[in-house]
Amino acid sequence: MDNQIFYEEVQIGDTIGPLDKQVSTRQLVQYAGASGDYYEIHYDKDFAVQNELPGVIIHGALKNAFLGELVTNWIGKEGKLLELTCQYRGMDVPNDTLRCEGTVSSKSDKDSHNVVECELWITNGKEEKTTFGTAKVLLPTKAS
Amino acid sequence: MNIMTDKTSLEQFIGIETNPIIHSIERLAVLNFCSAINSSFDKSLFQLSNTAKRLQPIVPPTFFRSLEANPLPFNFPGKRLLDAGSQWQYFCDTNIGDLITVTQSLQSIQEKEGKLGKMIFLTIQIKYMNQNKDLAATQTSTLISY
Repeated sequence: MDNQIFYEEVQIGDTIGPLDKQVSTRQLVQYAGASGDYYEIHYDKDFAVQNELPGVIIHGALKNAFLGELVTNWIGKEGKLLELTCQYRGMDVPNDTLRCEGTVSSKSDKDSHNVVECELWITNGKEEKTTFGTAKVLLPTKAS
Repeated sequence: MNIMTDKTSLEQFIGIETNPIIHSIERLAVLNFCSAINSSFDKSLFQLSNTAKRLQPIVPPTFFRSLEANPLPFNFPGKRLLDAGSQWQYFCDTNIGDLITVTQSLQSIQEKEGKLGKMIFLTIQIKYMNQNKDLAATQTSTLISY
């Protein structure tokens, strides 16, 4: 139960993270293989440039996975992820540092379900927020 | 495969589910996914998966992304396709050894004019059903074709 967070401890405005990620082009190839997303803009620079991109770009779904990791790390082994959303509003490129963070936006214990909602985002090395998301989780109580 | 170029011609496909594909959730595939996302996911959980009192899914939340569905019965219009984001919903745990049936369908279409010209927004839902016929998760994605 080390580091397990409980519903009673959470306050609106609490911060989640940060979780820092540095994505290499090698990782993009690895993610393409693991996820099956072989769209060439993620690993073929010539193809990406021909498609009016600055170079290869990070898979949106990889950033989605980072936000998922941020939340599941925070809720611990006894928390339960109910919903995760992610919107890609800007492109990110490899070899940058992506900082994943969040904040608690609401909590409710209606019908004995201890639900916490969170806002999530990713900021790149230029201090640009490129990715936004939300999460809805169930947290354990100290009594349970 | 039908080549469709506008919203009206795509509407006939709304709600039609693709033929299912059944995937076995394999330990190595999950480990490879964790490695690819450079996850701090606790690998020791794999050893506990049959006995641990664990309420969250044993697989990382977006692992389902690696479970392929049969292709939708049309080609996307436009020259380019942009993934605008996803909504995931989780209904029950998914563990190593589970059999997950994957289907997808077009849910809605919107056409908008933007700085890149005509853009078609397609909402696509993928369903992940386990061997007990319980819906494990859904992924609802927005794709922009332009």
